[in-house]
Amino acid sequence: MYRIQCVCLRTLGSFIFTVQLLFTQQLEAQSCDLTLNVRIKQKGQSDFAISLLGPEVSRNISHSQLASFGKLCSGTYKLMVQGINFESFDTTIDLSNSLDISLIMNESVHQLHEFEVHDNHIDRTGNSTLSSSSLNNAQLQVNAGKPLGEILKEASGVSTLQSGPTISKPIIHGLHSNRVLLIQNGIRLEGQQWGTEHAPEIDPFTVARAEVIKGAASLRYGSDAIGGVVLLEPSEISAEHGTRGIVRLAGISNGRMGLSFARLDHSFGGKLCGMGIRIQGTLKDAGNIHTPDYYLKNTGMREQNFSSTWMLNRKRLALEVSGSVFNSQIGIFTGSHVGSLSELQQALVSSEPKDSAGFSRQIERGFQQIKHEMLKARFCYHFFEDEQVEIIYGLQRNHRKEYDSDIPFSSDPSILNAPQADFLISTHTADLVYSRQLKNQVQLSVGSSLITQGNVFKGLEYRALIPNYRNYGVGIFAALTHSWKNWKFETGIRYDHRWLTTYRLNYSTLKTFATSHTFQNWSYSAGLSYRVSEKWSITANLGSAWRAPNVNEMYGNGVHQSAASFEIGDSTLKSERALNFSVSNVWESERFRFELGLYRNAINNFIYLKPLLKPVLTISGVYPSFAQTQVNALFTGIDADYRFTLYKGLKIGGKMSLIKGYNQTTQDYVVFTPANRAEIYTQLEGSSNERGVKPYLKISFMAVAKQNHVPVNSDYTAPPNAYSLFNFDAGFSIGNKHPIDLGFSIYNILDTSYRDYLNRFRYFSDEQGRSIAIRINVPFNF
Amino acid sequence: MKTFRKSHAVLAILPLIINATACKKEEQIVDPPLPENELLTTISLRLISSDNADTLNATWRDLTPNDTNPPDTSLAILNVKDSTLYRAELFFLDETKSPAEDIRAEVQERANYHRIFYFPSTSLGTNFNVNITDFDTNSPPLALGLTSNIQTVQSSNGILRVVLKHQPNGKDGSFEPGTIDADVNFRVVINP
Repeated sequence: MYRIQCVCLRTLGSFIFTVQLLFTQQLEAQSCDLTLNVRIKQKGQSDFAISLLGPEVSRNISHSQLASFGKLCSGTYKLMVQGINFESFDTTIDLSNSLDISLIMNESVHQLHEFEVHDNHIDRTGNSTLSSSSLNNAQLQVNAGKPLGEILKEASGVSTLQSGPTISKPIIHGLHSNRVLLIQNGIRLEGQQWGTEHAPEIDPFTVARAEVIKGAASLRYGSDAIGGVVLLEPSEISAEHGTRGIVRLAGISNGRMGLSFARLDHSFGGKLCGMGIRIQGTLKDAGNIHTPDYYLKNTGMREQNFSSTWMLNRKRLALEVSGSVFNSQIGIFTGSHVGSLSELQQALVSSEPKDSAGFSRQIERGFQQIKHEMLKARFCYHFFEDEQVEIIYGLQRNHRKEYDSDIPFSSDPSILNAPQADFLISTHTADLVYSRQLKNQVQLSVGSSLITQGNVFKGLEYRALIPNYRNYGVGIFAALTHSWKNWKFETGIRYDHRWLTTYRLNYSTLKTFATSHTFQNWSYSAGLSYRVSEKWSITANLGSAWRAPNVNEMYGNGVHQSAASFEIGDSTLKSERALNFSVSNVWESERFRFELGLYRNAINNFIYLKPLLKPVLTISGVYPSFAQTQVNALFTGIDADYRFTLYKGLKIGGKMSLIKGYNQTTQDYVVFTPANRAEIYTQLEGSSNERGVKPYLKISFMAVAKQNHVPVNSDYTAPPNAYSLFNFDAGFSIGNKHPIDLGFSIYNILDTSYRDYLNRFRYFSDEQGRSIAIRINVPFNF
Repeated sequence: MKTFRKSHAVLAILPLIINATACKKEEQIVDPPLPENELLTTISLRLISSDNADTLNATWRDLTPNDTNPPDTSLAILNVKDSTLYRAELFFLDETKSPAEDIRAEVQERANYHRIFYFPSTSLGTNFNVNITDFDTNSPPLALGLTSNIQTVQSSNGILRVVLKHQPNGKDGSFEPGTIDADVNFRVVINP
């Protein structure tokens, strides 16, 4: 017989831990035959010491995520859990029946006043043999004000593809855009991801945890993720009755950016126990960015975001409805606008951009205006312990308008103020996951996902960059996890079918004609993890996934203004197929942690723009031409990450990413593969404050090598030189009950002039110079 | 062991139901290009000799500006006489429309944002001299370039590069500011 307790919490001494009393197994209350099972739900392998102190007993179980205390008498017990890198947790339990307790421990890196309840979500990754890196709330907050792509760079193996200082998107192991999926709060972000100058429409302030799954093995999220998946999770609404919130403010000197964020949560008590609501909003405003030597004209940006959530956690049921609006206006650096190849060549030889400027907040023509609206509904139901179903429905509407600096030739004012390109893409997604424990240590999950999206292009351009289209996708998957002694085995399979119909106009007859394509294929993954000793574990994963060619690769034809190139699509492109193999080694002791990951991602029919060496003559000049072509590509690399406590609060650490992208068909390198990079840091940490941030000082040094592995004739200029940067961070808290956190950072301390190979605007300008940021977080509670 | 229940199947098809009701067919309507938005397809140069005896037309035309079809440059040639003064006029047209749209008016209207540059090749040297005769409303006025006087000297062959620059905030008489809207070449033959 099962009795399920409401997940509402009683006040449990400290705010730093999270508890979840999922299921209580009520056995016949015999005086001294009770069992207390404690399970620690933590992604990745961590060791915990679990102790139980009672009237007659004192028992300890070490280095385990699962503890079972049997033959207990009823009475009051004290439960304590301690783990390296985790805040310790203790609570008092009145034991009258046998209990199963699940705990989610918070990492103790910096600030953990965020009260997170990981409710009964189905584990989003579902796969622990995949190579992944995660960023916690503290790491995300230190980077407040930076674009999401830039923040994710904190994870090893991740770099960014930039278009000037305001637009960036993540690159995982050399792959980006449509090859990387971003899952925000359980829904895959659907905008115009194909564009290299289209940044993800996500407000980093609403993200409390980011996990980057590297490689092609994630079956849960669909077929396209041959580069990897980025999972972005908000903080949970506390289940404890009350109203609480936080105000965050930040100021950044470069660009004179001002940021403000506020969140208000309310959790109901009494009969409405388990219900919670949240509203939050962000405002961001910045002006021209300064490089060490000059301002970048028209690089300001503005952002206004708002979201609200209603959730209910009841016994077996969890419901959530949320809506969000993301609005941004991003200036495009004036100096990057080239109307012809001759202008590009001129920009390459000049040391400063042709249009210089002072500081201004004004955003002139040559900007993007994006509105992304999202509606989410989630339903989760527990049939039994370890048997649950989750359904998530998402509706997204992404409206992107791109205004060129050139005003069209017209005397009609409505045309003069219209965007050159106007994309409206609406997406419905529905995901279902059912998971259950088959028998001891064998976990099964099956699921399906549906997607349909319609894209409408309006705009002044004679031809659409991408045509109007409608696509449908259906996917089903099944995954199995089996643990046995020190071994863990995972395997999964997925099938996807996609239909794509494009609608284009015959310009002579002005009639619309449709062209349809279907794509279907299998993805699979198998992984093995072995715990060699208490401190050392080895994980290997082999996965294969595929990606259907994107509409822009098939039908995009014409001059790509910002790249000064003429691009030719190919509607006969086949799907890409990736075979990814990764091995990772983790060595972890109290004072030392070292992780080494190796990967090999072979992609057949890899789609890229091949230089044709045949210039195209247009009325605005001559352009080099590139055609969408398929080759076999191989990405291999190493990610390493370590940290070491030298003495008490003095720590050192670092990470390194090496990658090589090779085009096996042409026996040459793959263009725009990230350069090798390494980072080291030293951190001095003060003694632990109960709740706030431990006072700390951190200085880091990052070095990026010159990318020497570049193919011939694929670029207008040689890759930029190697560079190195020093950054500084510090933080501390004031107050004890509701500590106010203060943070201070300096990026590029030495004001170094440099250019990065993966910034598409490196042809025109240097990267941004020194910048000083201050942050303040004020939590409140009624 | 717990068994899978039939009720679960209902849950499994729920997303399908949601999805089926959610299709709009907006994308099936493809908007034709806006008639008011003009494309630059054709640049032609008309030269009239100062004695009005000779009228020459040279035309550079690309009716499919957004694909790889090469432009028609067979008429982009000027056969002029030596030691002659010509009045020259430059036309910008959108010939995808019928009748062809004259874009010159827009260039004229925003004269302070535009400038046309004429670059005779070195082989023409000083035998082909272009002097712009129209100006914008800046103070002092800056050259525009829709009309000009062309003075030929000795017979020679070469190329005349004509560039329409769009200089929204930086027109200062020099070539550098702004972006290129048109950049075409005309062959020039100066006959004895």
